[in-house]
Amino acid sequence: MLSRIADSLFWLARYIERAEDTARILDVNYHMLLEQSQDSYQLRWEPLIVMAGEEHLFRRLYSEVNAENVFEFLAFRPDNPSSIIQCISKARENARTIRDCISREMWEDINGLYHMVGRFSPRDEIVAGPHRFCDRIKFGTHRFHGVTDATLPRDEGWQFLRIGWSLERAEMTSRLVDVQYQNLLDELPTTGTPDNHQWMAVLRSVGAVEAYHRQYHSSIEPEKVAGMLILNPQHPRSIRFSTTEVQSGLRAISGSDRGSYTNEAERLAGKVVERLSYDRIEEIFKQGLHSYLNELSAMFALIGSDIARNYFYYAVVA
Amino acid sequence: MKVLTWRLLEYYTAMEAARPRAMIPSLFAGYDLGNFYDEMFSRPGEPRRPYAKVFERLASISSEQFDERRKLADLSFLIQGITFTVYSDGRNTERLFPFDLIPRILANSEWRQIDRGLTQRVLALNLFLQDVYGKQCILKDGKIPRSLIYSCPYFVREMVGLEVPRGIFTHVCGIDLVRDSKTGEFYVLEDNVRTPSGISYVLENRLVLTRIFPDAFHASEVLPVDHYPAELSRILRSISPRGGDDAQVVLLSPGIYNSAYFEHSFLARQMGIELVEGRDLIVDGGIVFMKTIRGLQRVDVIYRRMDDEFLDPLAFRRDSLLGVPGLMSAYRSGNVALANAVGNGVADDKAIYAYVPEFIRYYLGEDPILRTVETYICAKPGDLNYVLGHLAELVVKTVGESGGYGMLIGPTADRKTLELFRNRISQNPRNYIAQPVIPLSRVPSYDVSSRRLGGRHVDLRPYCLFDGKKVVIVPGGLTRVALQRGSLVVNSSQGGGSKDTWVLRGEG
Amino acid sequence: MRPIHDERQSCLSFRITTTPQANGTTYLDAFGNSVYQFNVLREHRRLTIEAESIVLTHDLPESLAESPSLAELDSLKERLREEHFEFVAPTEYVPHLPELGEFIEAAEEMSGGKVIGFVQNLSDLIHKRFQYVPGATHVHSSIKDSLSISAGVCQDFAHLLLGAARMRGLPARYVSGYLVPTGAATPESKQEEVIGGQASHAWAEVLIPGRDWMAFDPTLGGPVGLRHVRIAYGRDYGDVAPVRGVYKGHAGQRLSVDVRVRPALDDEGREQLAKTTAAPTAPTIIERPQQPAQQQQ
Repeated sequence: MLSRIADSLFWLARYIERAEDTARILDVNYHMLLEQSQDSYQLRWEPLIVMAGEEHLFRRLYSEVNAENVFEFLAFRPDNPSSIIQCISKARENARTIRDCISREMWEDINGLYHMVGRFSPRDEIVAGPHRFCDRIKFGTHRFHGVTDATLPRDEGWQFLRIGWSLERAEMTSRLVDVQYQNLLDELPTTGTPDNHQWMAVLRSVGAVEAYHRQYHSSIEPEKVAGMLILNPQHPRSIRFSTTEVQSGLRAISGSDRGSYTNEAERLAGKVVERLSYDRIEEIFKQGLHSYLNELSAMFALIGSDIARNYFYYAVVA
Repeated sequence: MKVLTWRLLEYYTAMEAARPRAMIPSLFAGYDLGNFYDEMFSRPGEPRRPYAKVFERLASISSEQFDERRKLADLSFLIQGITFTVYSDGRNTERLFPFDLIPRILANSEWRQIDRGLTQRVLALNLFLQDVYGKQCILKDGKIPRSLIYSCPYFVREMVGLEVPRGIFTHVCGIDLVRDSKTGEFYVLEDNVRTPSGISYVLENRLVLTRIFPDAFHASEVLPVDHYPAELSRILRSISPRGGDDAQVVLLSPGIYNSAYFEHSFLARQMGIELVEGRDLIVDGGIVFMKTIRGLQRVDVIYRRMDDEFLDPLAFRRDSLLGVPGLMSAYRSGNVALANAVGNGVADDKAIYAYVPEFIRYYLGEDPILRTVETYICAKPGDLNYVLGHLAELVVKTVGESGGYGMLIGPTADRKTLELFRNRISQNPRNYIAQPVIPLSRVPSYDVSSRRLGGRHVDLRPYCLFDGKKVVIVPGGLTRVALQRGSLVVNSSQGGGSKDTWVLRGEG
Repeated sequence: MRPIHDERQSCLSFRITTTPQANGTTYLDAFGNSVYQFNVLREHRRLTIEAESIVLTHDLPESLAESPSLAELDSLKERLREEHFEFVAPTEYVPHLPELGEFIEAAEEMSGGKVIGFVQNLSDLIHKRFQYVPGATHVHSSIKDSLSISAGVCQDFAHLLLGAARMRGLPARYVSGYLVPTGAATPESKQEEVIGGQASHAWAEVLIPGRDWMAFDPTLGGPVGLRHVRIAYGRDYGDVAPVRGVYKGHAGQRLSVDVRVRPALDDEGREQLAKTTAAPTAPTIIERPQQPAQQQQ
């Protein structure tokens, strides 16, 4: 398989995932935050920007952190390289150049999603609130997954897609948990009690509310939520699950056996899976959740760049 | 969707078979031969022998039934994505290449003559290219002016003295033929030996037609065309510098924004070779490699569907992002083979076309079998004067352009266009040639608005493959049809369409 | 970069080395010039190309034949154009411009009807009328530019002579090479220092009908002699650019280039463009990334 094609498949998947995760987080948090009191208004919107990793850019473009600006920034701004419309657009560009390698339905789906997004008027949507828009995005990305699942042979191409969306998901979830937790810790002194609403929102944004209740029967407790999202081996949006997918995908491509690795990306992925398989949430909190998740994020970045170095843009040694 | 289409076809075929025979041939109602050679009819109502069976078929169905089939054919093309891209107004629109169901039919004897003529021509063109980039005997013997060669913008100096694998320059040629209504004979209109396209339509048209007119097709005993990809693949593998059976062959395409991309992708798939763009290739130490996820893989043969000037920014256009820096150095070192060779444009320069009969005599010692159209070369002062004086009567073309662009059809052009061309020709005469307007032959074609058949002008582009010894020509080729009544322009981007071309096993 | 080897000039030795090292190959182009081609794939910050040669120039005995007349030239025009089309036809750098007409007329008047005299006059006229001003034109300037400002560098001076000679029907070719400086301080050496010591030099050769190619240097105005070392021939500068290349690197990287041309006896330098091929560097990340990763373009 040509490197360029693998690169496009990988990023197609990453951008679709990024669009979906951003839409999920935006949708759930927006409405939850609007229900809250006016005092912590500003404070509550910031985490969304921090999660997206574009704090500096936001500050340059907007003077105030409020609902409309955050929505516009995360969903519609063309100068935000990770805005939802930018992600969909880039995903579509990648799909277009590799049309021969994906199924016709996959192409038509992404192309349709791209055109649908293009028909939204940002002004109208900002007035209406993000729910309609985000819902459509999710519908589109879900369809994409469904069509891919149903029509694409499980060859190298499919593995790169799988690695792409899994790595992106692991990264996004890690940011989500990290920022939320830090945010809530800041809140604690003023309110005295943990804000269950916020944690509910986190669970809802990854569609894990029911799973949580099934597992934990208890009320929302931050440690348990963090544990679910980081360590749960079965939930498709947990960091452990996603990273395991990355590892499996990498192994499928390189043909490595279990217990060994062929390249740095595999080695790092293996390390992360190992930790996530055997760490307990209490140990994580003892180390410090932020520092733990920080390390994970750093690993994911290294895995991403090593995949690029190995398969897409390898440095040629004369 | 595909299955549904074929089921419907089966249904219609069965329905029609059950219909009583003596029906008014409403498709042909009002069909007029005009003053042109009609390929189907020698006289009104009298089909020529090769068309007898098809005429019978068409005469027994109504225009409604025909229309249904036409829609199904269009649908199947759409589903398969057989489109081409038109670049105008800055948008890229994908269009179906209109396909007309009525085939154009040639008797076997007629085709054999064409085949011999084309073979002769391909051999001569290849020898010419070997010579002009080698010893240049033909120049030394004064058979063609040196200045004409060296002023040709497609003459590539980098090719002088470069030895190509097996001496083959013209692996793939598309030679355009037209039948002159006055004489009923075929003439060569132009040669295309750089990157001729259209074979994908030939293959797809055949596929669709066999499913829509299966009985007429089988009854006529038509020679097959589907061996093209296998033949081309064989030739490509045979020019690999490393020899052996494991030649790594790739198809180099400018990418999805190229109007012929569908064909690139189609052929790559049919031949089972990798479709690459310039950025997938890299040259190291004079060897071409492909960037794959398993590392660099050596490339032996490049079937390049890209103009010379974009191939290598080091040798040609500096700003080309489509090419591979250093490709010419690898080519020169003999480490990679290119098909077609670089520099072929000097052989299909329309000003040099007039000398091809001379090439045939000079290199093969034979008289040309196929006739060429009288051509005025504006680079010659005498011809230039004539052309400027008779602009409204002539067809003027640029020497290197294909696709019908930059062409003037004198008799139908308005005064402004004539003035424009007068200026252009005067400023750069070397770039223009002129030919008399040829009354092209016509074949019945379906007119959607009137729901009847009408005569439409056609040309023929056979595809010739050359392996160094033998010329293999796919029987028939692409018949392009000017779908607009009275129009002589057959190119896809300007209102043209295509037909399936049948060469019969016998005479009909 | 390899000096020409013929009856008037012997290239006794030639070597090209590059740093980083590369295994290149050599071929002869359509004009008979030697071209060295190479590539460097691994990452590098600096590419050095060093060409060393030892050249011996020698005099040829003076030709005894008379210069052909301009009238003879006129009768041979068609044939010359046919046989030497490339060196008579206009090019992008050297279009046939009406402004050259006055030079042609003036040179003809003073020539006494002889071809060699005519070309020599052309060379002198250009030398007198145009000023040598580095930077007034650039490497891709055509004679249109130098004509409009009556200034240029040796490349332009040579192009001007080519244009005028060709318009008059004489085949003429561009010569790129080196001028070995005199070393001694003479009234001319100031200008020569600027030209030959620091740079490649360019001049022209014109085909005298019935004889051979004859060299003329409109930049210096004097005769072309033993200090002119020929490297390559072409129709114009475009055919003989000393170094041409393609490189790949991060956008935003600064490319700084230094080319030194040193005649074996002296020590100066001048800038020219040289580019290299390199693989992109992979980013190293140590801290938590603030921004999400993006696809490399």
